[in-house]
Amino acid sequence: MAEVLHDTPFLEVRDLHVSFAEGDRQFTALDGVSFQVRRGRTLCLVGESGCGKSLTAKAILQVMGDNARIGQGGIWLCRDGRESIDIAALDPRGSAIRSIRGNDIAMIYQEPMSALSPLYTIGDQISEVLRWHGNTSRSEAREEAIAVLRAVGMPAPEKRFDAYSFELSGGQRQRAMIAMALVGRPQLLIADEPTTALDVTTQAVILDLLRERQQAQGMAMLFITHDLGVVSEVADDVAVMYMGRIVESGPVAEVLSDPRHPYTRGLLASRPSVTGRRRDRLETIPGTVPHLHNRPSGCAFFARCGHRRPGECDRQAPPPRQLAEARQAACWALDDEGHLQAAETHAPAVARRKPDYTCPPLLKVRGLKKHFLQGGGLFTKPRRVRSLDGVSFDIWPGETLGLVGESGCGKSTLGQTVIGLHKPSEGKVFLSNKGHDVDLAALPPAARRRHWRDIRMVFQDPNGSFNPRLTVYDILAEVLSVAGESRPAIASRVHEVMRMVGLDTAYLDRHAHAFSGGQRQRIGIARALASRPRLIIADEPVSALDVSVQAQILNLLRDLQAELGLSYLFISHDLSVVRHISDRVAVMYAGQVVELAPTEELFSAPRHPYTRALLNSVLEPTVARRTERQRLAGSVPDPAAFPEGCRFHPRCSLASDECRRTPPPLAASGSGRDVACFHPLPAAVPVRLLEPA
Amino acid sequence: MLRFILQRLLWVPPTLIAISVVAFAIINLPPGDYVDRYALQAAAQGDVMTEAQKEALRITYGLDAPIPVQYVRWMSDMLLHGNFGWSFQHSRPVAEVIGERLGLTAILSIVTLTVTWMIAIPIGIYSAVRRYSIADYVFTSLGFFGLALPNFLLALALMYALFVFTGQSVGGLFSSQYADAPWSLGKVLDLLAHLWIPILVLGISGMASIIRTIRANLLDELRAPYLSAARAKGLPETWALLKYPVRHAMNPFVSGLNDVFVHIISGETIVAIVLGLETTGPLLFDALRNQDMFLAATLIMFLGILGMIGTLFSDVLLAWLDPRIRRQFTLVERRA
Ligand SMILES: Nc1ncnc2c1ncn2[C@@H]1O[C@H](COP(=O)(O)OP(=O)(O)OP(=O)(O)O)[C@@H](O)[C@H]1O
Ligand code: SF4
Ligand code: SF4
Ligand SMILES: [Mg+2]
Repeated sequence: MAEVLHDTPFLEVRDLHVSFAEGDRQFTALDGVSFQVRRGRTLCLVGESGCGKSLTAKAILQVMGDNARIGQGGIWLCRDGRESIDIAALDPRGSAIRSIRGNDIAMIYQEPMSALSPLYTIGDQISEVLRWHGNTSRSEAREEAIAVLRAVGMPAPEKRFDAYSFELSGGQRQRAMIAMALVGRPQLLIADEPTTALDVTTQAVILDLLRERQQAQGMAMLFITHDLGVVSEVADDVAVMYMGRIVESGPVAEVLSDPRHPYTRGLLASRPSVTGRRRDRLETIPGTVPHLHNRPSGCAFFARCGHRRPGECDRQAPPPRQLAEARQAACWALDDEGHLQAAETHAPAVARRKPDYTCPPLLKVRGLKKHFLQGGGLFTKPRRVRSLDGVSFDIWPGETLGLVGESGCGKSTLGQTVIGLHKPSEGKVFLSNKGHDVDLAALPPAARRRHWRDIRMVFQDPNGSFNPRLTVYDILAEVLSVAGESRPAIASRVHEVMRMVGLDTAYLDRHAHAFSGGQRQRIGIARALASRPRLIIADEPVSALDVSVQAQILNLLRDLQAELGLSYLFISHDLSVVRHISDRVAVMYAGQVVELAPTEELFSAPRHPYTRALLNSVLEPTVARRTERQRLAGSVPDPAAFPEGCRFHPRCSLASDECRRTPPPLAASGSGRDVACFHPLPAAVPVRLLEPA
Repeated sequence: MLRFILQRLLWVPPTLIAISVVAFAIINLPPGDYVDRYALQAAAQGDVMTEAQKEALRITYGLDAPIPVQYVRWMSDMLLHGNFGWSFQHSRPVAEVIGERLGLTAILSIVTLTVTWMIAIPIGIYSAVRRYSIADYVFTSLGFFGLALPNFLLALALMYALFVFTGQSVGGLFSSQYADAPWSLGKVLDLLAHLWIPILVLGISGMASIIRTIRANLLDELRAPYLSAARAKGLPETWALLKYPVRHAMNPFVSGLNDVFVHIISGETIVAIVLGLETTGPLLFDALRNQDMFLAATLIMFLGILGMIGTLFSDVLLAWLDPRIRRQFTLVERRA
């Protein structure tokens, strides 16, 4: 593809408006979006959930759904040697747009699990692209689909061609999705959050793959994400979107190092980092993205903006201003040079509170195992899935223990077993109670119930754990009334916890589904607080939230800990979040803890090869990156068939014969740190990530 | 797959025995037996039976033995000689009584089902795809009407209307001259001329509910990302619709098919009675009313068998349609 005209626009979106019809009312969702995607380059579209990123992508292919309508504006496609064509003017069911879809422009969907149908093989869904565009025979299409599957790194592509989506791992499913988009050799690839559902390690591999395919095919790429770390990794240019408008755009290095719009700054500041200074509180963007029905007049960001100018900003929406070549921002508070005026309000710097390690631990977990028996029928032996396979740790009063690891390593099972949702297969869980240790695992269910109040849980998706028929009041009162408290006592406690989590008590008689994700998570936290627990197990409590809301919830958890002396077991796959909130961190792999260390030490000098690999996969929104990094190949082992010896050895570059034979024990290695490795990394040498940022 | 079917078949005999025991027990639940009832009827005509006469009748019918013994006799006769017992009411072997009704019932039901599906499924699809169109409103309102109206009322209304306008009685499946005649071309034509009324009556409510389920299933599927993804690949609209959402919407429909055979045989009893149809539904109804126990027990057991076949049928069909289920079985097989 030598003659590709690099840097010339392939797609140009001009002043695009899209609205939704609901009943006989119209709601504007895209309010004048303009950007260009150039050949051979990647434009990243960032913004919080509901800002219209996916909608923009769908508008480009005219697959928005029946209630959406393009108003003004154009989507100009400039194919080589052909006349420019305005996609917005095409009939969405006509043949002209159909010949563009899958052929000139292809799309990777946000959720591969639901964008691939489970009723057809992935091979069928990939090769049908070829069969409909041009007259490829069935066997040729099969050959080509297998070639593309091989190119996207699908293991055993001939066999996988006949596999169904539910038979693939998350990473493989995403590869299938990418193959489906690439098989028509598109000149523009739209990738809508292609790595959001994946582990950091898999994410890094998929991003490499996309970049490699882009270079090989000379494609332009429109990459949608809410993660600024991913932006810094893949983008050439960035467009920041808020409520259906581009508020700032430009080359990635400039936007990330010198953001001009208050929204861009807010997004960058609310993100915890795995490098750099650890802050006690994160700066946040207050509030959330308003619903389309409540689009403010004037600047849509007004209500959440620290720079807002009443009387000016809320009257008229700021027009995009050209700051430099290819650099734009839309804000009234920019001065003549295009810099943001007025100082920002910084979060108060409160000293970090240290837990008291001299008193006895609150929770002691010893050799905890949870094995599940799976399948097995009349004549078959069940599989023994060893989700949790000998885990020991302590949590002190007022301490946060972070728990990280790839999906499927047993993080959630650990939390659920500690709280008693599963009966442990082996091992003990001691809770310190008035100077005595009570083994919760050995208690009969009735006696356990008395300790329910001491350990509570916060879930990733609070909505899934709320009964939709209950009001917020009922949800919060439930545990108290089970404990037999009096009505007035319950009422006053419910009001108290609502205030603690920063929710208006006027919301008490609403139903939980009427709240935003962040508010729902506050309710989830309030529910956990209601019984005055000493330990809260939080399983991915901020993973479903936007960075700005995530920062609000993290701050809330910190404040509550300082105020109430709570302990947290904080489970997350996001290392930057864990680093921000934890005093110590445990790294899990294949049902076991492989490293446990104070947060700073773990992040500045990981000693287990797996910890280092995890840290290496983290993407941060710093400029001047994209050095070649070592990727963690392979995937988490099948929990029913762990490898002999060290369970990490098939993926470990340091593996020796000893590692392949004997499992390494978790042993103390100085400065309060435990490592399970025969050849731990030296304590002194920092990883590349810790170069000053 | 084969293994799955065999496993299911293994469960059939014990379930059948359970069904037959329960059926037998239920029929013997009301006080008295067929002889008492017979005596009552005779008494109504002024013909009083003595206890000795009743006892003699019981002995001929085998009703003097304790109920478990009667059950064992009935079962062993059935298994060893293919003899399902004697219908007191009809004074003929049960097998004969049921046999002559079965064919007609099956014809009626199968034709009704086919017609219903052929009309209702496309309408359901159309309604969902063109939601809020005029046709959708029309179909949806007709559907509500069809669901709300009791079938027997519709049957009555139709018979009345036909009687008023054409002056002929349209009950039954045959005109009187063909009812007992041997099969001939004329009889077949006569059957067809009568068949459309029950088909219409039974079909309308069936259609209404099928349109509703298909429409609701499909509306959910139309929002699924794989449809959008199929469009984004450049597939023609109709093909994309049929291949993805419509196909997905069929699964819950198929899993609801498990009692289809029971329906085929039992039919809509009340409608059949109103229309005077000689199908198995009214037969069972009468048998229960008159404590014609072997006939009733055989019919109930028959329905049980059909229920099990239906469940197996819909499970197999579903497994064939849905790879998620299919692969589960093959996985188990491979590991075994
Ligand atoms: N079919 C629809 N009918 C009505 N509103 C819709 C429809 N589809 C999307 N919206 C609304 O349009 C807005 C933009 O949605 P969009 O999916 O583009 O957001 P996004 O930026 O991709 O968010 P996310 O990060 O969660 O994927 C949202 O407010 C959403 O609720
Ligand atoms: S225009 Fe005003 S409200 Fe909007 S972002 Fe700029 S300063 Fe804030
Ligand atoms: S024990 Fe060996 S294989 Fe396991 S992590 Fe350490 S070096 Fe790697
Ligand atoms: Mg989206």
